[in-house]
Amino acid sequence: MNAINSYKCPCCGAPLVFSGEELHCDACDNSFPAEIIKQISDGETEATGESSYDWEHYEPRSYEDTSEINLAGYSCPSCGAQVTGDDTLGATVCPYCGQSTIVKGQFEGTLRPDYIIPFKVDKKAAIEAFEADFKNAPFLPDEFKNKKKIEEMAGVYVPFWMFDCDCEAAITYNAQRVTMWSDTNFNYTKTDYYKLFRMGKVGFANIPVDGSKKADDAYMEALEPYNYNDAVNFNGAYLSGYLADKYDVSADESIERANERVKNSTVSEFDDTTGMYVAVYPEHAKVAFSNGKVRYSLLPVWMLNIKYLDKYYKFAINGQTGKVVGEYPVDKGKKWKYFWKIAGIGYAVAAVIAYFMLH
Amino acid sequence: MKKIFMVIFVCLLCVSLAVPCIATEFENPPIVDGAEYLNSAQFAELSEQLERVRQRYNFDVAIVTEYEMTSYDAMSSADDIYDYQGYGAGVNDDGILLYICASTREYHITTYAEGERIFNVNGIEYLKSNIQPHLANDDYYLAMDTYISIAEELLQMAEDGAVFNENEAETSDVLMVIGGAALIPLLVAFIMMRGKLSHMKTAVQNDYAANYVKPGTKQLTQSRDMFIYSSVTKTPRAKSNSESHRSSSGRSHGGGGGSF
Repeated sequence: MNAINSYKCPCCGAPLVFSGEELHCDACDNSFPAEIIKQISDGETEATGESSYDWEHYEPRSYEDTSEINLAGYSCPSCGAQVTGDDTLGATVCPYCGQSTIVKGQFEGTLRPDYIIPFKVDKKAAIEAFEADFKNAPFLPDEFKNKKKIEEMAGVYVPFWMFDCDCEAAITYNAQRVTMWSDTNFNYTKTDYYKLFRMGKVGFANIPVDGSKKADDAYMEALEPYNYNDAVNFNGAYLSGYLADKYDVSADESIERANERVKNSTVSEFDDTTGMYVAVYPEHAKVAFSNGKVRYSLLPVWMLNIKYLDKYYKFAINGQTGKVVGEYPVDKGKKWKYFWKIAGIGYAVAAVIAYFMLH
Repeated sequence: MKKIFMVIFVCLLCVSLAVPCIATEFENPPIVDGAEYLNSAQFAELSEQLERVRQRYNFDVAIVTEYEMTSYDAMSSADDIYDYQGYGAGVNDDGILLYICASTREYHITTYAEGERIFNVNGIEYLKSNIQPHLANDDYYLAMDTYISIAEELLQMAEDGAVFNENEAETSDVLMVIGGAALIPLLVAFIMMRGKLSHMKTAVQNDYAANYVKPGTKQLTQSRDMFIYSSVTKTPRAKSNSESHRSSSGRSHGGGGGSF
């Protein structure tokens, strides 16, 4: 018998040896057809290795023409946020920290966006959306619902990098199929083990990655999705009455997050093709990106900061869809009351079930 | 008129008091000793004991011994004798029958109707563990005497409302049920509370970009599913409280037996 070191046992990883027309594992005593082992090995070769990324370089553009609107720079004396806005904008609290009124300054004409999605949800509708949302917050302290504070909401165009790309993925999975049956004395479980290989292509458009350090990434990603059919070429007139942040996270710095989301989603897309198995575990995944394009866009967000017990709670409302995200304060009394109520019902049910099981 | 009512009342009272005193008629003698294990004195004594138990509990308790087996095994023989020779008490034919075959040295205790509940798996095991040693010693009289005593003991327990070790669970099962009953509600409450808490914090990162897949661009170019191997595990089935089986007559019997 000749040892074939290039092939390893798919069950235990030990080297396989050629025996007759099959490859045999001396360690776990399994035998496999040579063709299957070759297919597994080929799949693993395709799916292992580093993923490759191909993004174009983004060249920033300046506000060469500011005739569309008279813009001013605003800064927050508390958190240092630098935003742009209509120079007629009245006193407005800082959208990011909510702690002080922003101060008007000189507009610096740099970093003109490519696209903008204009606000569709006005302030009144945003307040209504927020009020509807906190009614669904189960452990909200009663004192938190302060109308005056809610009205201190600021509309901000938040900078996003939009990524387009085409992906080609090669993925291997370990999968299991289970069959169960019984006879008079025993229950039997048969588990069939498979190795799956999937290769395919998928394209992505307009994956947004937050380009502002001040805007919390978790909030901005939770606000998605935006409908990009409403996106238009940037025109300064859309900023009238709103603030606009400019990016301070470059496209190159945002690419890593875009890669992560694209790779996760590509693998997830091909998971759908493994539905006939009860358990599927991705083993290797290699994703190659091509035609990567980057654009700079402004997306509409209503920002709200509410102070409660010396802590600011941040909320954001999608200015296009009205989706509300944030973190509410938790009334611990309400939380534990709910816990013990459910536990009490659970104990009553468990007592009845236990009685019947033991008698 | 008053006297007529008084006479009717007295008659009804007499009849109602007399009813419990009417002895149940059993079709079969309590012992059929075809294998001739017992002498006449032993036969008479055990018959008397069985008859007393039968009448006391209105429940058939019987013994049948044979030299050659009636059917193909002890269980079928016991069931067939019970079903086709008219054993059982009351409209449901409640009862228990001890069958012993001399030639094959096998025995089987068959139970029917209420007998299946009173002499459950644990009761049958209790009976077997007490009579088998006597059968193994060829002390048939003592085996039968023990059988009658235990049958009476279990019937009395059932009459008192506490069937012998009904659904008796092992200590590990009891601990598991109690542990489960103590922990599962807490776990469920915790999971539900966490579910509610998730409504309190909706600002969470989205690690996927499935919303941004370009329509019609997904294309599966290669797909291979390669079977590698199978494994089979087997676990003993949990024993139920009643190990019922069907006899040749189609009736459901409980019970158990063995060799000696």
